[in-house]
Amino acid sequence: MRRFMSLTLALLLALALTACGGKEPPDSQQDNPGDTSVTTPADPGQNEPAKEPAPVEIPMPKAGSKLVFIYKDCPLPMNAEFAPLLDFIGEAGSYFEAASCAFEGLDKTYTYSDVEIITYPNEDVDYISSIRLLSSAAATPEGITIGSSRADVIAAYGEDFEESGEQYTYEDGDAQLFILFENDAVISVEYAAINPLLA
Amino acid sequence: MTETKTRKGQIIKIAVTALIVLSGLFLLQRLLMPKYVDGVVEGAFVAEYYRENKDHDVIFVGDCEVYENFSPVVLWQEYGVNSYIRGSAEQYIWQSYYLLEDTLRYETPDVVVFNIQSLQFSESQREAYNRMSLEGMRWSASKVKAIFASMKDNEHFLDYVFPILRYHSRWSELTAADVEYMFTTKRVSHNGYYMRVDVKAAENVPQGKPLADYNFGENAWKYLEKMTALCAEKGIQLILIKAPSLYPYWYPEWEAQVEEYAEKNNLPYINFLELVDEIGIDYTTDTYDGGLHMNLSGAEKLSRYIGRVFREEAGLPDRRGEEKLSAVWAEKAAAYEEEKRAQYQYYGMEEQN
Repeated sequence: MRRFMSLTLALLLALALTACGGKEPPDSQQDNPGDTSVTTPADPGQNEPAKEPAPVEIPMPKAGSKLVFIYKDCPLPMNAEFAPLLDFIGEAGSYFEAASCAFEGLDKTYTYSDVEIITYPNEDVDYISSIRLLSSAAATPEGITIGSSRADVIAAYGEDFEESGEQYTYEDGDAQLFILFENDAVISVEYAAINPLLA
Repeated sequence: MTETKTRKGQIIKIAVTALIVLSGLFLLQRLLMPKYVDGVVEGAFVAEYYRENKDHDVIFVGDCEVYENFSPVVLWQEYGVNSYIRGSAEQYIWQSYYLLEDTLRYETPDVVVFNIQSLQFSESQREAYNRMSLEGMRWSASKVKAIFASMKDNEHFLDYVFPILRYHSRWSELTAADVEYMFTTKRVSHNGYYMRVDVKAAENVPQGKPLADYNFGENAWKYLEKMTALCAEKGIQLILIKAPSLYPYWYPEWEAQVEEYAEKNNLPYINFLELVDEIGIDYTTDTYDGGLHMNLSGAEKLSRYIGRVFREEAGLPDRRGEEKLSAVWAEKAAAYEEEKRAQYQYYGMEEQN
Protein backbone atom coordinates (compact mmCIF):
# COMPACT_ATOMS: atom_id res chain seq x y z
CA MET A 1 0.00 0.00 0.00
CA ARG A 2 2.85 2.32 0.96
CA ARG A 3 4.45 1.65 -2.39
CA PHE A 4 1.14 2.45 -4.10
CA MET A 5 0.78 5.76 -2.23
CA SER A 6 4.38 6.71 -3.02
CA LEU A 7 3.77 5.97 -6.66
CA THR A 8 0.56 8.03 -6.65
CA LEU A 9 2.35 10.94 -4.97
CA ALA A 10 5.18 10.79 -7.47
CA LEU A 11 2.77 10.69 -10.38
CA LEU A 12 0.75 13.65 -9.10
CA LEU A 13 3.84 15.73 -8.48
CA ALA A 14 5.20 14.82 -11.88
CA LEU A 15 1.90 15.94 -13.39
CA ALA A 16 2.08 19.21 -11.52
CA LEU A 17 5.66 19.94 -12.35
CA THR A 18 5.99 18.72 -15.90
CA ALA A 19 5.70 21.45 -18.47
CA CYS A 20 3.47 20.61 -21.41
CA GLY A 21 5.09 23.19 -23.63
CA GLY A 22 4.69 26.89 -23.22
CA LYS A 23 4.56 29.71 -25.69
CA GLU A 24 6.97 29.13 -28.51
CA PRO A 25 7.79 31.27 -31.45
CA PRO A 26 6.11 30.24 -34.69
CA ASP A 27 7.72 27.39 -36.61
CA SER A 28 8.78 29.68 -39.39
CA GLN A 29 10.97 31.51 -36.89
CA GLN A 30 12.97 28.46 -35.84
CA ASP A 31 15.62 29.16 -38.45
CA ASN A 32 17.49 32.32 -39.05
CA PRO A 33 15.69 34.17 -41.83
CA GLY A 34 19.00 35.52 -43.04
CA ASP A 35 20.42 32.06 -43.75
CA THR A 36 19.01 31.82 -47.25
CA SER A 37 19.43 35.43 -48.26
CA VAL A 38 20.46 36.13 -51.80
CA THR A 39 22.44 39.13 -52.82
CA THR A 40 21.58 41.26 -55.81
CA PRO A 41 23.02 44.56 -56.91
CA ALA A 42 20.77 47.51 -56.27
CA ASP A 43 21.19 48.66 -59.82
CA PRO A 44 22.10 45.91 -62.30
CA GLY A 45 22.85 48.45 -65.02
CA GLN A 46 25.63 50.06 -63.06
CA ASN A 47 29.02 49.33 -64.70
CA GLU A 48 31.48 51.48 -62.81
CA PRO A 49 32.87 49.20 -60.13
CA ALA A 50 34.39 52.01 -58.13
CA LYS A 51 31.03 53.74 -57.74
CA GLU A 52 28.91 50.61 -57.40
CA PRO A 53 26.70 50.99 -54.37
CA ALA A 54 26.69 48.38 -51.67
CA PRO A 55 24.67 45.37 -52.73
CA VAL A 56 21.19 45.18 -51.29
CA GLU A 57 20.28 41.89 -49.76
CA ILE A 58 16.80 40.67 -50.46
CA PRO A 59 15.74 38.88 -47.32
CA MET A 60 14.56 35.35 -47.99
CA PRO A 61 12.77 34.28 -44.85
CA LYS A 62 11.82 30.65 -44.57
CA ALA A 63 8.25 30.16 -45.66
CA GLY A 64 5.91 27.61 -44.16
CA SER A 65 3.61 27.76 -47.16
CA LYS A 66 3.54 28.09 -50.92
CA LEU A 67 1.17 31.02 -50.45
CA VAL A 68 3.69 33.84 -50.18
CA PHE A 69 3.08 37.43 -51.22
CA ILE A 70 5.99 39.28 -52.77
CA TYR A 71 6.27 43.02 -52.34
CA LYS A 72 9.01 45.17 -53.85
CA ASP A 73 10.80 41.90 -54.76
CA CYS A 74 10.75 40.84 -51.13
CA PRO A 75 8.91 37.65 -50.15
CA LEU A 76 6.64 38.24 -47.16
CA PRO A 77 5.64 34.83 -45.81
CA MET A 78 3.02 34.57 -43.10
CA ASN A 79 4.49 34.17 -39.60
CA ALA A 80 7.81 35.63 -40.75
CA GLU A 81 9.61 38.06 -38.49
CA PHE A 82 8.73 41.43 -39.94
CA ALA A 83 11.51 43.78 -38.81
CA PRO A 84 14.17 42.67 -41.36
CA LEU A 85 11.55 42.69 -44.11
CA LEU A 86 10.39 46.17 -43.12
CA ASP A 87 13.98 47.36 -43.40
CA PHE A 88 13.97 46.16 -46.98
CA ILE A 89 10.53 47.29 -48.19
CA GLY A 90 10.71 50.63 -46.42
CA GLU A 91 8.46 52.57 -44.11
CA ALA A 92 4.73 52.50 -44.70
CA GLY A 93 2.71 55.54 -45.70
CA SER A 94 0.65 55.13 -42.58
CA TYR A 95 1.08 53.19 -39.38
CA PHE A 96 -1.43 52.15 -36.74
CA GLU A 97 -0.99 50.07 -33.65
CA ALA A 98 -3.59 48.50 -31.45
CA ALA A 99 -3.10 46.86 -28.11
CA SER A 100 -5.13 43.72 -27.89
CA CYS A 101 -7.82 43.82 -25.20
CA ALA A 102 -5.49 42.28 -22.69
CA PHE A 103 -2.36 40.77 -24.18
CA GLU A 104 1.00 42.37 -23.80
CA GLY A 105 2.24 43.84 -27.05
CA LEU A 106 0.70 45.48 -30.05
CA ASP A 107 -0.90 44.41 -33.28
CA LYS A 108 0.66 46.74 -35.87
CA THR A 109 -0.84 47.82 -39.18
CA TYR A 110 1.46 49.14 -41.92
CA THR A 111 -0.47 50.66 -44.80
CA TYR A 112 1.38 51.18 -48.09
CA SER A 113 -0.22 52.64 -51.20
CA ASP A 114 -1.32 49.24 -52.41
CA VAL A 115 -1.03 46.76 -49.54
CA GLU A 116 -1.80 46.59 -45.84
CA ILE A 117 0.45 44.45 -43.64
CA ILE A 118 -0.56 43.50 -40.11
CA THR A 119 1.75 41.94 -37.54
CA TYR A 120 1.24 40.21 -34.22
CA PRO A 121 3.63 40.24 -31.27
CA ASN A 122 5.24 37.30 -29.59
CA GLU A 123 7.84 37.91 -26.91
CA ASP A 124 8.88 41.32 -28.23
CA VAL A 125 9.14 40.20 -31.85
CA ASP A 126 6.57 41.09 -34.51
CA TYR A 127 5.49 38.46 -37.03
CA ILE A 128 3.32 38.87 -40.12
CA SER A 129 -0.28 37.91 -39.44
CA SER A 130 -1.97 39.18 -42.60
CA ILE A 131 -1.42 41.01 -45.86
CA ARG A 132 -4.26 42.54 -47.85
CA LEU A 133 -4.15 44.03 -51.32
CA LEU A 134 -5.63 47.50 -51.42
CA SER A 135 -5.65 48.16 -55.14
CA SER A 136 -5.04 46.60 -58.52
CA ALA A 137 -1.53 48.09 -58.46
CA ALA A 138 -0.53 45.09 -56.38
CA ALA A 139 -0.97 41.47 -57.42
CA THR A 140 -0.16 38.07 -56.03
CA PRO A 141 2.83 36.26 -57.61
CA GLU A 142 0.23 34.20 -59.50
CA GLY A 143 -1.19 37.40 -61.00
CA ILE A 144 -4.42 37.80 -59.04
CA THR A 145 -5.46 41.30 -58.08
CA ILE A 146 -8.52 43.41 -57.35
CA GLY A 147 -10.76 43.10 -60.40
CA SER A 148 -9.51 39.67 -61.53
CA SER A 149 -12.24 37.28 -62.58
CA ARG A 150 -13.33 34.07 -60.90
CA ALA A 151 -11.91 32.16 -63.86
CA ASP A 152 -8.53 33.90 -63.41
CA VAL A 153 -8.47 32.82 -59.78
CA ILE A 154 -9.23 29.21 -60.59
CA ALA A 155 -6.65 29.22 -63.37
CA ALA A 156 -4.06 30.62 -60.95
CA TYR A 157 -4.78 28.60 -57.82
CA GLY A 158 -6.88 25.64 -58.93
CA GLU A 159 -10.10 24.27 -57.57
CA ASP A 160 -8.87 23.03 -54.22
CA PHE A 161 -10.54 25.76 -52.18
CA GLU A 162 -13.21 26.06 -49.54
CA GLU A 163 -16.16 28.13 -50.60
CA SER A 164 -18.07 30.22 -48.13
CA GLY A 165 -20.61 32.51 -49.71
CA GLU A 166 -18.68 34.62 -52.17
CA GLN A 167 -15.30 33.79 -50.68
CA TYR A 168 -12.75 31.18 -51.73
CA THR A 169 -10.22 30.07 -49.13
CA TYR A 170 -7.01 28.40 -50.22
CA GLU A 171 -4.81 26.87 -47.53
CA ASP A 172 -1.27 25.61 -47.57
CA GLY A 173 1.07 25.06 -44.62
CA ASP A 174 0.88 27.97 -42.22
CA ALA A 175 -0.96 30.36 -44.54
CA GLN A 176 -4.40 30.94 -45.98
CA LEU A 177 -5.43 33.02 -48.94
CA PHE A 178 -8.88 34.56 -48.89
CA ILE A 179 -10.32 35.78 -52.17
CA LEU A 180 -13.65 37.55 -52.06
CA PHE A 181 -15.82 38.16 -55.12
CA GLU A 182 -18.61 40.48 -56.01
CA ASN A 183 -20.35 39.91 -59.32
CA ASP A 184 -17.64 37.41 -60.26
CA ALA A 185 -14.88 39.96 -59.86
CA VAL A 186 -12.32 39.90 -57.02
CA ILE A 187 -12.92 42.66 -54.48
CA SER A 188 -10.53 41.50 -51.77
CA VAL A 189 -7.34 39.44 -51.62
CA GLU A 190 -5.91 38.67 -48.21
CA TYR A 191 -3.19 36.35 -46.93
CA ALA A 192 -3.55 35.26 -43.30
CA ALA A 193 -1.25 33.39 -40.96
CA ILE A 194 -2.24 30.12 -39.41
CA ASN A 195 -0.73 30.01 -35.98
CA PRO A 196 -1.84 28.67 -32.59
CA LEU A 197 -1.09 32.06 -31.05
CA LEU A 198 -3.70 33.63 -33.28
CA ALA A 199 -6.31 30.93 -32.68
CA MET B 1 -6.51 -7.18 18.25
CA THR B 2 -3.03 -6.56 16.84
CA GLU B 3 -4.37 -7.08 13.31
CA THR B 4 -7.12 -4.47 13.90
CA LYS B 5 -4.52 -2.01 15.23
CA THR B 6 -2.31 -2.58 12.19
CA ARG B 7 -5.27 -2.02 9.89
CA LYS B 8 -6.24 1.21 11.69
CA GLY B 9 -2.65 2.36 11.45
CA GLN B 10 -2.63 1.70 7.73
CA ILE B 11 -5.86 3.62 7.23
CA ILE B 12 -4.47 6.59 9.17
CA LYS B 13 -1.27 6.51 7.11
CA ILE B 14 -3.25 6.44 3.88
CA ALA B 15 -5.47 9.30 5.04
CA VAL B 16 -2.48 11.40 6.15
CA THR B 17 -0.64 10.73 2.89
CA ALA B 18 -3.72 11.61 0.85
CA LEU B 19 -4.15 14.80 2.88
CA ILE B 20 -0.51 15.77 2.30
CA VAL B 21 -0.80 15.09 -1.43
CA LEU B 22 -4.04 17.06 -1.78
CA SER B 23 -2.75 19.96 0.32
CA GLY B 24 0.42 20.03 -1.75
CA LEU B 25 -1.54 20.11 -4.98
CA PHE B 26 -3.85 22.80 -3.62
CA LEU B 27 -0.88 24.98 -2.64
CA LEU B 28 0.75 24.40 -6.01
CA GLN B 29 -2.47 25.36 -7.74
CA ARG B 30 -2.76 28.56 -5.69
CA LEU B 31 0.85 29.40 -6.50
CA LEU B 32 0.71 28.66 -10.21
CA MET B 33 -2.61 30.27 -11.12
CA PRO B 34 -2.24 33.75 -12.66
CA LYS B 35 -3.06 36.45 -10.09
CA TYR B 36 -3.82 39.32 -12.49
CA VAL B 37 -2.73 41.93 -9.92
CA ASP B 38 -0.27 43.70 -12.18
CA GLY B 39 0.32 43.88 -15.93
CA VAL B 40 -2.75 42.16 -17.36
CA VAL B 41 -5.20 42.96 -14.55
CA GLU B 42 -8.34 42.33 -16.61
CA GLY B 43 -8.43 38.70 -15.49
CA ALA B 44 -9.24 39.84 -11.93
CA PHE B 45 -12.35 41.88 -12.73
CA VAL B 46 -14.95 39.11 -12.71
CA ALA B 47 -14.00 37.85 -9.24
CA GLU B 48 -13.99 41.33 -7.70
CA TYR B 49 -17.74 41.57 -8.01
CA TYR B 50 -18.33 38.99 -5.27
CA ARG B 51 -16.77 41.29 -2.67
CA GLU B 52 -19.45 43.93 -3.26
CA ASN B 53 -22.68 44.74 -1.49
CA LYS B 54 -25.02 43.60 -4.21
CA ASP B 55 -27.63 46.30 -4.41
CA HIS B 56 -26.91 47.86 -7.79
CA ASP B 57 -29.32 49.90 -9.89
CA VAL B 58 -27.36 49.25 -13.05
CA ILE B 59 -25.19 46.35 -14.20
CA PHE B 60 -23.07 46.78 -17.32
CA VAL B 61 -22.08 43.59 -19.14
CA GLY B 62 -19.69 43.30 -22.06
CA ASP B 63 -16.08 43.44 -23.11
CA CYS B 64 -13.39 46.12 -22.87
CA GLU B 65 -15.83 48.54 -24.49
CA VAL B 66 -17.68 48.70 -21.17
CA TYR B 67 -14.99 48.27 -18.54
CA GLU B 68 -12.75 50.95 -20.06
CA ASN B 69 -15.46 53.40 -21.07
CA PHE B 70 -17.79 53.99 -18.12
CA SER B 71 -17.02 55.21 -14.64
CA PRO B 72 -19.40 54.04 -11.89
CA VAL B 73 -17.85 56.65 -9.57
CA VAL B 74 -19.07 59.46 -11.84
CA LEU B 75 -22.49 57.82 -12.11
CA TRP B 76 -22.71 57.85 -8.32
CA GLN B 77 -21.25 61.29 -7.76
CA GLU B 78 -23.34 63.03 -10.40
CA TYR B 79 -26.53 60.98 -10.50
CA GLY B 80 -26.63 58.88 -7.32
CA VAL B 81 -26.75 55.73 -9.47
CA ASN B 82 -25.20 52.63 -7.91
CA SER B 83 -23.64 50.65 -10.75
CA TYR B 84 -21.17 47.87 -11.44
CA ILE B 85 -19.44 46.64 -14.59
CA ARG B 86 -19.23 42.90 -15.14
CA GLY B 87 -16.83 42.79 -18.03
CA SER B 88 -13.52 41.28 -18.98
CA ALA B 89 -11.22 41.22 -21.98
CA GLU B 90 -12.95 40.20 -25.22
CA GLN B 91 -15.84 38.85 -23.19
CA TYR B 92 -17.98 36.87 -25.60
CA ILE B 93 -21.75 37.30 -25.63
CA TRP B 94 -22.44 33.89 -24.06
CA GLN B 95 -20.05 34.82 -21.24
CA SER B 96 -21.88 38.11 -20.77
CA TYR B 97 -25.17 36.22 -20.69
CA TYR B 98 -24.01 33.73 -18.06
CA LEU B 99 -22.34 36.47 -16.01
CA LEU B 100 -25.68 38.24 -16.03
CA GLU B 101 -27.42 35.02 -15.00
CA ASP B 102 -24.82 34.68 -12.24
CA THR B 103 -25.38 38.29 -11.15
CA LEU B 104 -29.13 37.71 -10.88
CA ARG B 105 -28.47 35.01 -8.28
CA TYR B 106 -27.46 37.85 -5.96
CA GLU B 107 -29.44 40.89 -7.05
CA THR B 108 -31.92 42.25 -9.57
CA PRO B 109 -30.85 45.61 -10.96
CA ASP B 110 -33.32 48.00 -12.60
CA VAL B 111 -31.20 48.36 -15.72
CA VAL B 112 -28.75 46.14 -17.58
CA VAL B 113 -26.51 47.76 -20.19
CA PHE B 114 -25.03 45.45 -22.82
CA ASN B 115 -22.39 46.53 -25.33
CA ILE B 116 -23.10 44.78 -28.62
CA GLN B 117 -19.57 44.69 -30.04
CA SER B 118 -19.27 40.99 -29.17
CA LEU B 119 -22.10 40.07 -31.55
CA GLN B 120 -19.40 39.78 -34.20
CA PHE B 121 -18.19 36.52 -32.61
CA SER B 122 -20.21 33.36 -32.75
CA GLU B 123 -17.52 31.21 -31.17
CA SER B 124 -14.63 31.77 -28.77
CA GLN B 125 -11.45 33.05 -30.38
CA ARG B 126 -8.81 32.45 -27.72
CA GLU B 127 -8.53 30.30 -24.65
CA ALA B 128 -6.76 33.09 -22.75
CA TYR B 129 -9.86 35.28 -23.04
CA ASN B 130 -12.08 32.41 -21.94
CA ARG B 131 -9.91 31.95 -18.87
CA MET B 132 -10.04 35.62 -17.93
CA SER B 133 -13.81 35.67 -18.07
CA LEU B 134 -14.52 32.29 -16.53
CA GLU B 135 -11.94 31.60 -13.85
CA GLY B 136 -13.12 34.43 -11.65
CA MET B 137 -16.74 33.26 -11.65
CA ARG B 138 -17.96 31.51 -8.55
CA TRP B 139 -19.01 27.94 -9.12
CA SER B 140 -22.66 27.65 -10.06
CA ALA B 141 -24.75 26.13 -12.82
CA SER B 142 -24.20 29.39 -14.72
CA LYS B 143 -20.43 28.95 -14.57
CA VAL B 144 -20.64 25.35 -15.78
CA LYS B 145 -22.86 26.41 -18.68
CA ALA B 146 -20.53 29.34 -19.44
CA ILE B 147 -17.53 26.99 -19.61
CA PHE B 148 -19.27 24.58 -21.96
CA ALA B 149 -20.46 27.46 -24.14
CA SER B 150 -16.94 28.90 -24.31
CA MET B 151 -14.54 25.99 -24.63
CA LYS B 152 -12.59 25.70 -27.85
CA ASP B 153 -11.96 22.24 -29.32
CA ASN B 154 -8.62 21.88 -27.56
CA GLU B 155 -9.94 22.85 -24.13
CA HIS B 156 -11.16 20.51 -21.39
CA PHE B 157 -13.74 21.07 -18.69
CA LEU B 158 -11.51 19.42 -16.08
CA ASP B 159 -8.84 22.06 -16.69
CA TYR B 160 -11.31 24.65 -15.43
CA VAL B 161 -12.20 22.51 -12.38
CA PHE B 162 -8.52 21.88 -11.59
CA PRO B 163 -6.62 24.83 -13.07
CA ILE B 164 -3.32 23.27 -12.04
CA LEU B 165 -3.74 20.97 -15.01
CA ARG B 166 -3.56 24.02 -17.23
CA TYR B 167 -1.04 26.14 -15.36
CA HIS B 168 1.54 23.57 -14.25
CA SER B 169 4.03 24.99 -16.74
CA ARG B 170 3.96 28.49 -15.23
CA TRP B 171 6.99 27.75 -13.07
CA SER B 172 9.33 29.83 -15.16
CA GLU B 173 6.95 32.82 -15.16
CA LEU B 174 6.39 33.03 -11.40
CA THR B 175 7.00 36.40 -9.78
CA ALA B 176 6.93 37.71 -6.22
CA ALA B 177 3.26 38.62 -6.77
CA ASP B 178 2.41 34.95 -7.22
CA VAL B 179 3.59 34.29 -3.69
CA GLU B 180 2.24 37.51 -2.18
CA TYR B 181 -1.25 36.98 -3.59
CA MET B 182 -1.51 33.22 -3.17
CA PHE B 183 -4.37 33.59 -0.72
CA THR B 184 -5.32 37.25 -0.96
CA THR B 185 -5.84 39.75 -3.73
CA LYS B 186 -6.01 43.49 -4.21
CA ARG B 187 -8.57 45.61 -5.97
CA VAL B 188 -7.58 46.42 -9.52
CA SER B 189 -10.81 48.06 -10.73
CA HIS B 190 -13.32 50.66 -9.58
CA ASN B 191 -16.60 48.72 -9.59
CA GLY B 192 -15.35 46.96 -12.69
CA TYR B 193 -13.96 50.12 -14.33
CA TYR B 194 -10.36 49.99 -15.56
CA MET B 195 -8.86 53.44 -15.28
CA ARG B 196 -6.29 54.91 -17.64
CA VAL B 197 -5.44 58.61 -17.58
CA ASP B 198 -2.81 58.70 -20.32
CA VAL B 199 -3.46 60.04 -23.77
CA LYS B 200 -2.68 58.70 -27.21
CA ALA B 201 -4.54 60.42 -30.02
CA ALA B 202 -6.35 58.40 -32.67
CA GLU B 203 -4.43 58.55 -35.96
CA ASN B 204 -4.40 56.48 -39.14
CA VAL B 205 -7.19 54.22 -37.90
CA PRO B 206 -7.65 51.53 -40.57
CA GLN B 207 -10.99 51.21 -42.31
CA GLY B 208 -12.81 47.91 -42.25
CA LYS B 209 -11.92 45.32 -44.83
CA PRO B 210 -14.62 43.73 -47.00
CA LEU B 211 -16.18 40.72 -45.28
CA ALA B 212 -17.49 37.53 -46.82
CA ASP B 213 -20.55 37.67 -44.58
CA TYR B 214 -21.82 40.64 -42.61
CA ASN B 215 -24.54 38.71 -40.80
CA PHE B 216 -23.99 38.04 -37.10
CA GLY B 217 -23.77 34.33 -36.35
CA GLU B 218 -26.65 32.22 -35.07
CA ASN B 219 -24.96 31.52 -31.77
CA ALA B 220 -24.43 35.22 -31.09
CA TRP B 221 -28.07 35.96 -31.83
CA LYS B 222 -29.17 33.08 -29.61
CA TYR B 223 -27.48 34.63 -26.58
CA LEU B 224 -28.79 38.10 -27.30
CA GLU B 225 -32.28 36.60 -27.45
CA LYS B 226 -31.64 34.82 -24.15
CA MET B 227 -30.41 38.03 -22.55
CA THR B 228 -33.46 39.92 -23.77
CA ALA B 229 -35.77 37.20 -22.47
CA LEU B 230 -34.00 36.98 -19.11
CA CYS B 231 -34.24 40.73 -18.56
CA ALA B 232 -37.90 40.74 -19.59
CA GLU B 233 -38.66 37.88 -17.22
CA LYS B 234 -36.99 39.69 -14.30
CA GLY B 235 -38.54 43.08 -15.12
CA ILE B 236 -35.15 44.59 -15.98
CA GLN B 237 -34.77 47.33 -18.60
CA LEU B 238 -32.15 46.13 -21.09
CA ILE B 239 -30.27 48.93 -22.88
CA LEU B 240 -28.06 48.07 -25.85
CA ILE B 241 -25.07 50.27 -26.55
CA LYS B 242 -22.16 50.54 -28.94
CA ALA B 243 -19.16 52.26 -27.37
CA PRO B 244 -17.40 54.96 -29.41
CA SER B 245 -14.38 52.82 -30.26
CA LEU B 246 -12.93 53.60 -33.67
CA TYR B 247 -11.25 50.22 -33.95
CA PRO B 248 -12.12 47.41 -34.56
CA TYR B 249 -14.25 48.84 -37.34
CA TRP B 250 -18.02 48.88 -36.79
CA TYR B 251 -19.68 48.10 -40.13
CA PRO B 252 -22.88 49.85 -41.26
CA GLU B 253 -24.23 46.36 -42.05
CA TRP B 254 -23.77 45.40 -38.39
CA GLU B 255 -25.35 48.62 -37.22
CA ALA B 256 -28.43 47.95 -39.34
CA GLN B 257 -28.90 44.50 -37.78
CA VAL B 258 -28.67 45.85 -34.23
CA GLU B 259 -31.04 48.72 -34.99
CA GLU B 260 -33.55 46.29 -36.44
CA TYR B 261 -33.29 43.97 -33.44
CA ALA B 262 -33.65 46.81 -30.94
CA GLU B 263 -36.69 48.15 -32.72
CA LYS B 264 -38.31 44.73 -33.01
CA ASN B 265 -37.78 44.05 -29.31
CA ASN B 266 -38.58 47.57 -28.17
CA LEU B 267 -35.15 48.04 -26.61
CA PRO B 268 -33.30 51.34 -26.32
CA TYR B 269 -30.12 51.30 -28.40
CA ILE B 270 -27.45 53.97 -28.06
CA ASN B 271 -24.67 54.04 -30.64
CA PHE B 272 -22.11 56.37 -29.08
CA LEU B 273 -20.21 56.55 -32.37
CA GLU B 274 -23.08 58.70 -33.62
CA LEU B 275 -23.08 60.91 -30.51
CA VAL B 276 -19.41 61.84 -30.43
CA ASP B 277 -20.03 65.53 -31.13
CA GLU B 278 -22.98 65.81 -28.77
CA ILE B 279 -21.00 64.22 -25.93
CA GLY B 280 -17.88 66.17 -26.78
CA ILE B 281 -15.56 63.22 -27.34
CA ASP B 282 -12.26 64.43 -28.71
CA TYR B 283 -10.17 61.59 -30.12
CA THR B 284 -7.00 63.60 -29.68
CA THR B 285 -7.43 63.83 -25.90
CA ASP B 286 -10.06 61.31 -24.77
CA THR B 287 -8.44 58.01 -25.70
CA TYR B 288 -5.31 56.36 -24.33
CA ASP B 289 -4.70 53.91 -27.15
CA GLY B 290 -5.38 55.63 -30.44
CA GLY B 291 -9.15 55.35 -30.47
CA LEU B 292 -9.79 51.82 -29.21
CA HIS B 293 -10.78 52.77 -25.68
CA MET B 294 -11.55 55.92 -23.76
CA ASN B 295 -9.14 57.23 -21.16
CA LEU B 296 -10.45 58.72 -17.90
CA SER B 297 -11.47 61.96 -19.58
CA GLY B 298 -13.46 60.15 -22.27
CA ALA B 299 -14.98 57.64 -19.85
CA GLU B 300 -16.21 60.41 -17.58
CA LYS B 301 -17.84 62.19 -20.55
CA LEU B 302 -19.62 58.98 -21.58
CA SER B 303 -20.69 58.35 -18.00
CA ARG B 304 -22.25 61.81 -17.71
CA TYR B 305 -24.21 61.16 -20.88
CA ILE B 306 -25.47 57.71 -19.92
CA GLY B 307 -26.18 58.94 -16.40
CA ARG B 308 -28.70 61.36 -17.89
CA VAL B 309 -30.27 58.46 -19.77
CA PHE B 310 -30.58 56.49 -16.53
CA ARG B 311 -32.16 59.45 -14.78
CA GLU B 312 -34.41 60.86 -17.49
CA GLU B 313 -35.33 57.82 -19.55
CA ALA B 314 -35.02 54.86 -17.18
CA GLY B 315 -36.25 56.91 -14.21
CA LEU B 316 -33.58 55.71 -11.80
CA PRO B 317 -33.71 57.48 -8.43
CA ASP B 318 -30.89 59.52 -6.90
CA ARG B 319 -29.66 57.44 -3.97
CA ARG B 320 -27.08 59.86 -2.64
CA GLY B 321 -29.32 60.40 0.38
CA GLU B 322 -28.77 56.82 1.57
CA GLU B 323 -26.30 57.16 4.38
CA LYS B 324 -24.76 53.68 4.31
CA LEU B 325 -24.44 53.60 0.55
CA SER B 326 -22.97 57.11 0.52
CA ALA B 327 -20.32 56.00 3.00
CA VAL B 328 -19.40 53.04 0.80
CA TRP B 329 -19.11 55.32 -2.23
CA ALA B 330 -17.06 57.88 -0.30
CA GLU B 331 -14.45 55.16 0.20
CA LYS B 332 -14.64 54.12 -3.43
CA ALA B 333 -14.29 57.73 -4.58
CA ALA B 334 -11.22 58.17 -2.37
CA ALA B 335 -9.59 55.11 -3.95
CA TYR B 336 -10.53 56.46 -7.39
CA GLU B 337 -8.93 59.84 -6.66
CA GLU B 338 -5.86 58.17 -5.26
CA GLU B 339 -5.36 56.07 -8.37
CA LYS B 340 -5.96 59.11 -10.56
CA ARG B 341 -3.20 60.99 -8.75
CA ALA B 342 -0.86 58.01 -8.90
CA GLN B 343 -1.41 57.57 -12.63
CA TYR B 344 -0.98 61.28 -13.42
CA GLN B 345 2.29 61.13 -11.54
CA TYR B 346 3.35 57.89 -13.25
CA TYR B 347 2.66 59.29 -16.72
CA GLY B 348 4.21 62.65 -15.80
CA MET B 349 0.95 64.46 -16.54
CA GLU B 350 -0.64 67.42 -14.94
CA GLU B 351 -3.76 66.46 -13.02
CA GLN B 352 -6.98 67.33 -14.85
CA ASN B 353 -10.04 68.68 -13.10
